[in-house]
Amino acid sequence: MQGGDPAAFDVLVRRYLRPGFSIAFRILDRREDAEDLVQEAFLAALEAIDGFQPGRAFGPWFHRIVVNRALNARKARARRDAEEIPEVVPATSPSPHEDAERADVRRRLSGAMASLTERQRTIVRLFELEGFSGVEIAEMLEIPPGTVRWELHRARKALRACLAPLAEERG
Amino acid sequence: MTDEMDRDPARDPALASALRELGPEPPMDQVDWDRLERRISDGARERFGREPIAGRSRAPWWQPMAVWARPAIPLGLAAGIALFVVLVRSPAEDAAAAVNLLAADPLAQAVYQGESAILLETSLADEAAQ
Repeated sequence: MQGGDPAAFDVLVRRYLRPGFSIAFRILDRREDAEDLVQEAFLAALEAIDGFQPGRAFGPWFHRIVVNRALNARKARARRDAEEIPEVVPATSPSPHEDAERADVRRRLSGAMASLTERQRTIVRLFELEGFSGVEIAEMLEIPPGTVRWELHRARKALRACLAPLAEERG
Repeated sequence: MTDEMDRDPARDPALASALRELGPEPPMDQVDWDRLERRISDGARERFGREPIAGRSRAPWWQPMAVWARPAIPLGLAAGIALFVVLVRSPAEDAAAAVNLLAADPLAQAVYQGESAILLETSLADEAAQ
């Protein structure tokens, strides 16, 4: 792509569109916003392609653009919206048949997620849900891998505390 | 703790499952991927429409000057020599050239004579006033 081959750009779009969208959605929680953001990220990557070091993997570099832009977009949206954006949108409301204790765990987990910092939430989602390694996340967030693992450790500790009753029930 | 920070911890399936229940999963099946790809391609074409991607120049800013340096140096030297010759030409040569011009060009002669007549009239008028 650095050689100015439009076909190479199309190949990269096809390859990294879905992972890019998925990362953006994890941070933004809205499909339309994630679509717009991944589009902007590709165009930003194309503009900045001269700064990309040949021989390095495109994926982490592109994912860094997506994460940075998504975090900025989320901050901007929070400022713009008059109402507070819920940090975590429940997938479904508890059904009448849902176990009361399970609903309570979900409610507390939601609260624990909301109490995390934006960076911790991003790290835990990228690690646990998207399957990225600490090193990959560190590259995306431009922080040392040790910091990523430390933040992950703190976030997991807070979240696991909410899951303890459920684990005891299962155990 | 240090060892824990040196490598990634094991994944926690229970936590991952709970987090998945908590928030919506990326709706991969709701996205029109072809349309999104087209949007990106169109955006790329629009943004770089005036300057096609294939023709984008990544040359350093000084490269155009470097290209011109080879012909510019001898041309500059030649221009300098010509300027030097013009500047050091003797006044006698200039006067001779002017006489030749007057002799050869009737229009120049007329202008020259007209100016002489005006000067003569002016000086006579001055003398009469005194």
